[in-house]
Amino acid sequence: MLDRLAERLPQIVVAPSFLLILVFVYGFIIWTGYVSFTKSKMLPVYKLDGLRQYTRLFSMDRWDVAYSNLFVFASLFIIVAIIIGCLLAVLLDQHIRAEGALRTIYLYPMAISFIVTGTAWKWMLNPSLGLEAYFQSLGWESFSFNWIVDKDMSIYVVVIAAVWQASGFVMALFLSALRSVDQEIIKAAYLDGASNTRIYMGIILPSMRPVFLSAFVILSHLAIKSFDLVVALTGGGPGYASTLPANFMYEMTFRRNQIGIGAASAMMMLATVAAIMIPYLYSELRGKKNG
Amino acid sequence: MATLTINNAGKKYGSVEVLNDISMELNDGELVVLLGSSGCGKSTLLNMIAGLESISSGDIRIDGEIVNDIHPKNRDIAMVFQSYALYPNMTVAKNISFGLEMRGVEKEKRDELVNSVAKMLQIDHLLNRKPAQLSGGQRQRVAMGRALVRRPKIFLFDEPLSNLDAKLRVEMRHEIKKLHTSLKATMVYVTHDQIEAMTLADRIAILKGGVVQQFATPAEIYSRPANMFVAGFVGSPSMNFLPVTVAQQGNEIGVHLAVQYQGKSENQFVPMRNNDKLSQLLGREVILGIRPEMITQLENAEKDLATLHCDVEVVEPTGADTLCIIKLAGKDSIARVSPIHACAPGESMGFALDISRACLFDPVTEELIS
Repeated sequence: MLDRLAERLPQIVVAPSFLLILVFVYGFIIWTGYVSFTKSKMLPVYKLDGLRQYTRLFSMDRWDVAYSNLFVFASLFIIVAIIIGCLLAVLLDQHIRAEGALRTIYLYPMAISFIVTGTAWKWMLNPSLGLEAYFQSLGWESFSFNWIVDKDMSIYVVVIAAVWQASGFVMALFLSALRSVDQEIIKAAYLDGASNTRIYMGIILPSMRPVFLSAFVILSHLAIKSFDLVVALTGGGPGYASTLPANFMYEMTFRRNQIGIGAASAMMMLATVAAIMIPYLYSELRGKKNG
Repeated sequence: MATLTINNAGKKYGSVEVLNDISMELNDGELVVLLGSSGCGKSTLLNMIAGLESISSGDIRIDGEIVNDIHPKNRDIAMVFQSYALYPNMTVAKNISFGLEMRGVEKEKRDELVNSVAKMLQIDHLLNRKPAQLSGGQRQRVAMGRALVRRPKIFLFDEPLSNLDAKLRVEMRHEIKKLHTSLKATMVYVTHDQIEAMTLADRIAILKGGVVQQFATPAEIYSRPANMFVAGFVGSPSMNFLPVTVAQQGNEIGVHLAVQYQGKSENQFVPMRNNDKLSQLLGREVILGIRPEMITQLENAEKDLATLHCDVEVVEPTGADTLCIIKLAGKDSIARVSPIHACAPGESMGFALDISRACLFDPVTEELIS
C-alpha cells in the first residue's frame, strides 16, 4: 500500500497544478476560441455564428493600429533592449570598480511595476512638465520633444519606457553568461591576435546563443502582454494611436460589451505569438540535439 | 627557432609576491618543463611569457629582444590551454585557421596550412565538426593544431593533459614528445605531474612559493636533487627521508640506522663511501634521502652493497615491483623489491642498500649536502 503510494507520489503532488493549468490556461483558451465564433456581446452566448466577429475585427481601424503597433513595439523593444542590455553587460564585464553597485542600479527598473514606470515617464515626457519644459527653461527655446502627444510617435514613447525598464534585466542575464565563458578562450583569442571587439563579436556572443533565446522569450512575452505600461503612459492615446492588442482586447471585452470581438482579438494575439515562437523554438531546440 | 631568456623576473599582486627573481635561459629547440604544485606560480610565469600577465620586475627576452611591453599577438608565441579553449561556435578548421586569419594570411594559404597540420595530427576527418562534437583527445589535438599552424617561435603548454584520462594522457604525452622531436621548437610546458615532467623535459625547473628550486636535466634532478622539496616531489613512490647521525666505525665512516628486526629494534651501521666530505660531518645529524629502488632484495644484488635485515610491515604489489614498507630510523620507508622475492607482511627479509646513490640533506636548511 505504502509502496504504491510512494510510487504515485510524484503524480499526486503534480496533479493539482496540472489540473489547474489544464482548466484555467488551456480550457479557457478553448473557451475563448469558441466564444470568438459566437455573437457574444455583453454576456457570452454559445450559438455559433461563423467568422463574423473576425470580419468585423479586421474591418476596424482601431484593430489595425493596435496590431501594427504590436509589431513596431515588440520588434523595437526586443531588439533595442537586447542591444543595450548586451552593451551594458560587455561594458560592465571589463572588471570595473563599483560593478556591484552599477549592476544593482541597472537592474532596479525591473523591480518597479509598469504602472510606476509609465506614470514617471509620462511626467518626464509631458511637454509642459518634463524634459521639454526643462530644456526650454534653461534657455534652449527651440527644444521640442513632444512624442507623447504626437499620434505618429506615441508608440515609440512606449518603446523607450519599456526598454528603460527591461534592458537592465537583459544586462544581468548577459553578464552572468559572460562570466561563465571560459577565460582561457578569451586568452587564446587574445594570443591569436583578435581585437577586443572581434573577441566579443566573433567568439563570446555567438557562444551565448542560449542566453539570446532566453532573453528573446522573456522580452517577447513582456512585449505581447504589455498592457499596463500603455494604460499608465499614454492611455492608448492620443486617440487610439498607441494602443496595443491587449489594450484593444480589454477595451472591447470589458468596456464596450463586445465579448465576441474581444475573444477574436485574443485569438489573433495567440496565433501571432504561435507563428513567431513555434518555428524559433523548434529550430533552437532541434539544433541543440545534434550539437 | 628561438631562445627564451628570463632575467630576474618577478610578479607582485599588490604586496603579495607571487614570483620572485626568476632567471632561466632556454636554448633553441629546448623543451623546458615548469613543475610545481598548485599555487607555486608556474602558470603565472607562463602567462608572463605569453604576455597575458604583466611583468612586475626584471625582463623576458625572446631571441634577445625584450618583450615586456610587446603585445601578446606580436610576441609570436602560441599557447595550448588546459581546457583546450577552443572557440565553441567555430568548426575545427575555423578554430585552427583563426589565428592565421587575424594575421591576414590569405584564404588559400590558410586552407593549405590547416590541411597539412590536420593531417599531421590526424584530425583531417574532423575539420567540419564543432568542438562540442569531439572527444577530449580530439579537442586536445585541435588545440595543438591551432598552436602549430602558426609556426610560432615558442610554444607554451599550460597543463595540456590534465583533463584527459590516464591512458589518453600517456598517448598524448608521446605525441607531444614526438612533435617536439620533429619540430625542434622551443617549448615551455607547465605541469604538476612529475612523470610528465621527467618524460618530456630536456630540462625541468621546479618551482615552490614563486622561487625556482632547481633548474636542471631530469636525470640530475632525480639523482642530485637540490633540496628535500625537489627530492620529495620527483619520483614515485617518493624518496625516503631518514634522520641519521654520521658516525665512524673502525676506519669507515657511515650512518647508524635503527631497524626493526624480529620485533626488536637494532642499530645497524651502514658504511658510506664518499668519505672526504663525510669526515667533516662526523657526529652531525643529517637527513639521509634514499629512493625506494635503492633498497632492494638481497638476492641478485651486487656484492659490495650494504645489507640489513628487517621486518616488513606492509606489502604493496604494483605488478612489476612490490613495495615493502619497513621501519628505518623510526620512519616508515618504502623498499622496491622484485615480486618473486617479496615476503609476506609481518615476516622479515634481507635488503641491500645502494647507499652510494643516496643523498644527504641538512636537517635545518633542507639543502643537499652530498
